[in-house]
Amino acid sequence: MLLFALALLAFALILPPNAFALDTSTPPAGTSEQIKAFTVIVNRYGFNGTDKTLSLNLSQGDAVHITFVYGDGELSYDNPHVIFLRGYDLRTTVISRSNPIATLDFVATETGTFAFYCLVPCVGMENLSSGAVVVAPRPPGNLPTALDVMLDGATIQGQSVNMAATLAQGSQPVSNARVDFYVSTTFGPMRVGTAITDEKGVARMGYRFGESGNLAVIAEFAGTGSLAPSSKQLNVLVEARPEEPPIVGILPNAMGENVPRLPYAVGQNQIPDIRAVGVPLSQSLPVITLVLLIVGSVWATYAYVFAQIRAIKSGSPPEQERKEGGEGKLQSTSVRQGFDKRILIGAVLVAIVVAGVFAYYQLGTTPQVKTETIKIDIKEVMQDNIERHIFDPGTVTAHKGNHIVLIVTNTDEHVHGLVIPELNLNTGPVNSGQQVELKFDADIAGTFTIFCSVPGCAPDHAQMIGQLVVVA
Amino acid sequence: MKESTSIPKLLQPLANYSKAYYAFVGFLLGVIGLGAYAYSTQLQNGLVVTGMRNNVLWGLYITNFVFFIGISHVGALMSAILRLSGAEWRKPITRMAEAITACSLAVGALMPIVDLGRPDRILNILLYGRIQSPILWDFISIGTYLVGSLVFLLLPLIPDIAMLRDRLSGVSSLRQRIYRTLSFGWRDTPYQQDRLEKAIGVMTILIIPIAISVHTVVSWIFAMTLRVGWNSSIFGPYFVAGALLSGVASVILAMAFFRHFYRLEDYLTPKHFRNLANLMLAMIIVYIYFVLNEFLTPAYKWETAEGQLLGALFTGEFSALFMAAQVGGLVVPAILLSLRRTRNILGYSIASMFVVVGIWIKRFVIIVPTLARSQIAEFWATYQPSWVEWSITAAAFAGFILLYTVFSRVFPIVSVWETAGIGEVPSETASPTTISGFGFTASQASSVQIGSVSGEDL
Repeated sequence: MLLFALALLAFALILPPNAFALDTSTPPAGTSEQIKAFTVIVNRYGFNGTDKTLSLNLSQGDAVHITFVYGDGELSYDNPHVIFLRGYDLRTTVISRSNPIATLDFVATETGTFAFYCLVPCVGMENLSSGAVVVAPRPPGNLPTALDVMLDGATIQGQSVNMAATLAQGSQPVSNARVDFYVSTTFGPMRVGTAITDEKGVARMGYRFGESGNLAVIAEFAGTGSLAPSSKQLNVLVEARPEEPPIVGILPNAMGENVPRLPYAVGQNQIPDIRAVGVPLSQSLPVITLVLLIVGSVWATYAYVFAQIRAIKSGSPPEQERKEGGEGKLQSTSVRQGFDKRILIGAVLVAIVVAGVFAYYQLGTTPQVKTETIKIDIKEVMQDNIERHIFDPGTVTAHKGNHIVLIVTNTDEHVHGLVIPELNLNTGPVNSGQQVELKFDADIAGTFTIFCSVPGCAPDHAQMIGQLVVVA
Repeated sequence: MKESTSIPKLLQPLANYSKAYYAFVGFLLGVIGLGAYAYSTQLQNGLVVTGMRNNVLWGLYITNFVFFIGISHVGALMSAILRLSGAEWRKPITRMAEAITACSLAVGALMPIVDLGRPDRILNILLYGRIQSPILWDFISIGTYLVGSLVFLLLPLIPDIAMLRDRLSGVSSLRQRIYRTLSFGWRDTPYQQDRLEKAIGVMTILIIPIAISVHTVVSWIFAMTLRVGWNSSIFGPYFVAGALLSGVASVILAMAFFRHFYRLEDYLTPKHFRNLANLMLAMIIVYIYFVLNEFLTPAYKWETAEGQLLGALFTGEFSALFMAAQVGGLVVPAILLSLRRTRNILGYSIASMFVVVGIWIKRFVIIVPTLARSQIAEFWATYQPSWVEWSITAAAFAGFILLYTVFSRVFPIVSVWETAGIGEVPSETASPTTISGFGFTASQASSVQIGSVSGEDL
């Protein structure tokens, strides 16, 4: 294993030297007091003509502007490139004959050597694989700076707020400087973003508090060649997100937040969203049952093994079994029956607990729903000697809270469809004589307009309008 | 440090702790400390301190996860299959294999949690997880497997722990309490033997499908994703084969280690190494067959997106790692295991080292290139693991070795009651009680002459 650890180390060493360069445990220093501009011609022989290992030297904190120029103009064909800067994870747009110039703008906050190369398997790709941006560290200076931070907007969990940090040296604002923003979390301050100060020395960024309670917002300026670092902490009380009434088809998402979703609908191409909790029992029962059966049978066998261990601990068979037979019988049926009883009781107890938890979630989070079936025909009728295509009935009514089965039948000779955009319901094209079912939960009361989903189905396509009324 | 001459070889490591042992444990704790510091950095700053970004969102952590879950298979599969087939030679090595399972699972199962930016939200997988998500399948199957493998390790340990409880004097009260609790009042009665036989028998059969299903489910995390390189139907058996291969290699390494440092030459004979080496060679051939299937079929067609990935693997930026995995992890060990000159314990150990490193790199090569080579060239990306990831990886390996080492110092790493008569002078009263079925023999532990053992306090 030690040798293996050494081999792993060797593997680490064969990686490029910047493999260890992404350490951001201490906020990097840097402001953009000067902009360093480079122009790099990219052609099939390398960078700037024939240089395959072009190095661009920078100091930490430099604002950088690199212009890449297409250099394969004399070729009879196009030889597009995309330049990627590793470490900063920046890439240009496609550099090609039709789009010969692309730029990269960034502040050199991280120190180290960062490769840049062409991502596209272009002609001469091997000559465009070893460019490098070398960022040298710069120690901070001595001129004292002052940083102030404030928030603009209501500090409520989940709502946007503007963070503004003002950096000054004496009475003079410091522009073009990098300010890092941190917010306290369970695990200490977390960097939530970075902004550059404007001519008034103000750096701004928008933020949404994910947590509530007493939190700290910290702005940090890491210093430059002449300016000393400074930071400022602001303690804020973030109000908890107000409880919202349930909205249609809420499904708790994996981040633990309630995000309103469009109503749950099973259309032609939709797969039911099956979760252990949070959806009606009818939708998840078959899958849950299958999972419980497979996993449950394994755990039931474990229970049998645990029962054996318990028997080992007791050291001797139960009294009743000892009476029933001699040593020979011990290893046969009577002992087993004794354990079977215990296992049965255990299994029943487990089943009761599982069923209880299950019922709590199912019944506690979703009300019992009734199913309501509604039929709509799409048909052709004559009105004032003109062919009209209508939904029949033109207005259908459903009751809030019910599970709705909407049966759409096209009795016309043309292809039509039914769409209720507000509810994200769509039958898709329904051929003549065909019937399509849409299932959804009517969780919002209101009036929803029904349209035909097949443009050009008939001259009066635009007049094909119906209504679904969901009453509370 | 006292050393009693009456301590049998198998129990000497439990009684005498050398300075070298403490130094080794201290070194491992140091590496784990570095990993803990790195992890605290990650917790404070988020996953931005790793090399993972939007495109390459799985890196070293998931590589370690798949690797550790893989080597965990050996205890379950190899041990269970050898028990079922009644292979007598397996007795000195099954516990080593089973302990590898438990230790590697404990470390491997932590890796996805480390991979989470917000580990405090792990409970949400259970509360809000979607049943059609392979992540939830993983959660359930690995949890089930962890419990099963611990029980599978514990059951054959019970008679040995009872012996330690009765015979190992002078150990700390904590260790005495552990022995007392985990021996479950074992007095070696026929009734207890009957129960133990039943329990081991059931677990031996049950653990095989569980182990196979776990690594199949791990492979489905990839294979259920519509991504070039992962969109494959052979991933289940492919991963199981790779898991078994790396697991057997790990057992050979562990055997070589214990044979040398614990002086177990009488128990771990060249025959054991030879048998396992043959098994490893067979698994290498099976694995090469899978590798051919995995790459020949798409490479023959060279469909656009597949071709870009294969190009990166065969001749592009991942070619060095790719070839290291295939040549270093499969071809070189196969040669070492085949040549007469290298068919010895040193040769087997070197071959196993190549296999273990090769399979680890193979896991990396399965995971990262597919993510780096998005089907749209505009979104191609690179991945450079940061020092945080390397430190946590080193800590994971150190943690695994530490768990394994401590286990071998608290419990006999070779089953005493199953190997009674090997390497010891048979006692006059030794009359092993043979329990039929499932290919194991339960000799009466109390009848094994182990003498009076005096250990030193922990």
